[in-house]
Amino acid sequence: MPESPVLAIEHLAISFAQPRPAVEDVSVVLERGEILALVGESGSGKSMTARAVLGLLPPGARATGSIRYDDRELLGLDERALDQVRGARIAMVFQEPQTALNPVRTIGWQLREALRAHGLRSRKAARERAIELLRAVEIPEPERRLDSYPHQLSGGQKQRVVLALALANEPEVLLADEPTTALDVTVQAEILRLLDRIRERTGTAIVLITHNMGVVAEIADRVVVLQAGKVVEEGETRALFAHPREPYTKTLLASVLRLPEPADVLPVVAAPAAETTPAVEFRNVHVRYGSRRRGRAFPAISDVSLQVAPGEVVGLVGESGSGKTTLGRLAAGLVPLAEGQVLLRGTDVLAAPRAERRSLRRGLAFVHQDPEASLDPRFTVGASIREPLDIHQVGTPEERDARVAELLDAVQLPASYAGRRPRELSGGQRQRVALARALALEPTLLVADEPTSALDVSVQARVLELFRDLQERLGFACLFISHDLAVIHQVADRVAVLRAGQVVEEGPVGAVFTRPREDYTRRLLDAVPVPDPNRRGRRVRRVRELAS
Amino acid sequence: MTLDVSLEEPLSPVPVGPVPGDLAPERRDSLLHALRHGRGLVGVVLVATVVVLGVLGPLVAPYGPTEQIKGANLLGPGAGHWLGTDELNRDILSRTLYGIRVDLVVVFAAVPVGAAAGVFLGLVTSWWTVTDVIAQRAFDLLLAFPALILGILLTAFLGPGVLTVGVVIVALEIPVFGRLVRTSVRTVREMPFVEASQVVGAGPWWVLRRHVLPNSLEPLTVQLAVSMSVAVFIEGAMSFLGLGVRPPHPSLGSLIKDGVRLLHEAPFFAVGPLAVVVALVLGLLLISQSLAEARRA
Repeated sequence: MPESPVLAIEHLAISFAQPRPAVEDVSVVLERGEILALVGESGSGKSMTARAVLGLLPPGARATGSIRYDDRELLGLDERALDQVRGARIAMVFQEPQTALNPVRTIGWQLREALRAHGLRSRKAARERAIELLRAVEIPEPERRLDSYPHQLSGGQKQRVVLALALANEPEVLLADEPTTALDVTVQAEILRLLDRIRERTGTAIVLITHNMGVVAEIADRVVVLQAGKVVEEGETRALFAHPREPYTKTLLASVLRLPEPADVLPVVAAPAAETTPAVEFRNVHVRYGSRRRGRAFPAISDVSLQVAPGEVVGLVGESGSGKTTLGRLAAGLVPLAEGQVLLRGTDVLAAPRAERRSLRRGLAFVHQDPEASLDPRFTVGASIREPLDIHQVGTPEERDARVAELLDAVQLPASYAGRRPRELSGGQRQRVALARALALEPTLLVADEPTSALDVSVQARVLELFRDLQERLGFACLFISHDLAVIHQVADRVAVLRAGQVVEEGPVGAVFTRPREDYTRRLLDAVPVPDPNRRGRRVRRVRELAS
Repeated sequence: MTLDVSLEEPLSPVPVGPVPGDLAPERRDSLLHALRHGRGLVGVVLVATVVVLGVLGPLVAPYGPTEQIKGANLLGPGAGHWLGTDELNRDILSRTLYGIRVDLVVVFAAVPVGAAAGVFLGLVTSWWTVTDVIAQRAFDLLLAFPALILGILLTAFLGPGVLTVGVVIVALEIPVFGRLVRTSVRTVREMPFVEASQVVGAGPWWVLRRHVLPNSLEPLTVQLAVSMSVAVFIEGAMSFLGLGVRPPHPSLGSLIKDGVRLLHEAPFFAVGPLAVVVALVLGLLLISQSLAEARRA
């Protein structure tokens, strides 16, 4: 190696006042101008490693080992010395663009501030440099954007501004902690391409922290796989994807859900018999948010008609703001209907008398996205699962307890878990409990709002498997909402693609995903990062063609 | 790709202890813990001492609260009268011990009554928009009244006395707790676990009783301690102005009032009652502070 690495982490260990260290032994070398991916599941220590580089560890953390930047030891440096490195030589981009920007200041102000903090005195020069930076991150009309506030920008644009802030002082190293996780797939694809171009233009080395193997395959040159605070495997991206050595890496790669190839066209699933009454039917429904009187009502759903047959799983996909969650919540009766009809088992819910409405409601269940909040922290697991039974006073208390044990068994959790509190469970376990609670009353329709998107890939794979299994066994109909097309492909029979509150395309999953009729569907499909580094070039070309 | 690894096997070892990002240990435990250590413990000891003195007052007090002792006019603190005597030849220590009882009634009866009423009203009204608006504007009205003006107003109707003080404190605590509960209702009702139970058919009462109330107990506990210390102040202030306990019966507030009046002649007078009030308020504030901190951590 003629050149010394720009950043070298050796035997880094980070521990808190707890038995298990957050990072046990991590050694990573970053060469100039390369994109290195740090991959691992939650708790693997990938974010902690990045934070340690900039001395941003939470209070109470002890770090040992060595972090060298340009032959300068960073670990144990005092704040003042670190300030000369932070932002100037090594910059960081965080996951959530919403919170990374100050909501009460303009974009221009924030950029100027960053430039001034590192010595650019003149106001005019700062402004010019700010425009230049916005241009570098490919924001249209940078002069006008300087006066915008963060809330006036979309999520993707905000992340671009955050990138511009990070690049303000031409850092040699950019640490990007899940920079695209909070974004839609199409936006994610654009940001990833931007990162690649920035690297090409400025020679900035990038450490990309992610849990998404697709993203890794997309732009990383090298990959370091972390597990429980240790480096499990590292290697050049193509080689690692083609021949993973460690079982952990293999499992991680196998857990990644893939979209169907156009080649392996599935036999079209026979359409469900038309005579059966659908479990839920939307007839020209409209949902509006905000007051209608003030004329500011925002149409979240406009004129959607959709049916879910008994025992059928219908996937709802779309980007944020497409109305997929609203449609699911409408089925569950959580948002008011503005126009149209929602029929549960053939009966118009709103027109039905009170008593009947209650019995219709009994056939409904809802699983929420956030495992942190989907269970009452004060309830034991058993009490949470029992709640629907208690509400409808099903059977005797003993029978209810027996049912709880049965449900826990159905979601593959030991019966002893009934006495635990949600905080004692992992995210995956909590979602299993939420699923058990949803199934307590044997619903005819389950509305699942992104039930696995907060989970690690391997956990997600197991929860989806369980879901599929239960669905086949119990035969409930399901509206499955997800932004992840691969997840929908895994679980759904039919899919409805939503955009701006309207159904763009609808049909059997195999058909829609392999031969999409609409441009929008095709664009969504193309934007999904494919966990195969060999297909990198091809996809980029296709995305570009569509953009033009 | 063929695989020899089973998906059922856990990918990462199950961590032995809490890992960073784990939720804090149960809050209830930490609230209790806060009361057993450091600042919280000091608060508990202070409050407990005052409570014991008040409860045992009649047994420990060397004289009756209104008993006049011959020849003991404005005596300074000494062996016979630890805190001295007042201008009517009464033992200040005895009067203070009896006076504590009034404050105990106010603190441990009026405040909980006001809190319970406020919590109930807040819970019941804040679920529906119409009742919520009405109740909250009524609370605004009550809160807009300075405590003492309200006290004077009520005294005009009820006449001075412990009861009036109690009513004033109840009236003051209702909006405070009503507000607090409303915030909890608003936050908790948006939580996914509430939605999940609503979808299967839980009504407002079910949600309020099973989810909202239990989840708002912590802020309420903290507020209870704060309100109790404020109540001591209010009793003191009202009795000080002659709106509270009527002479010759003692209360901490009226004792301080007399002490201030005779500050030049008998500077020792107010020391005892003041020390008790300070101990009680300080103790309650320390408790509320440590509870609040434990809740945030």
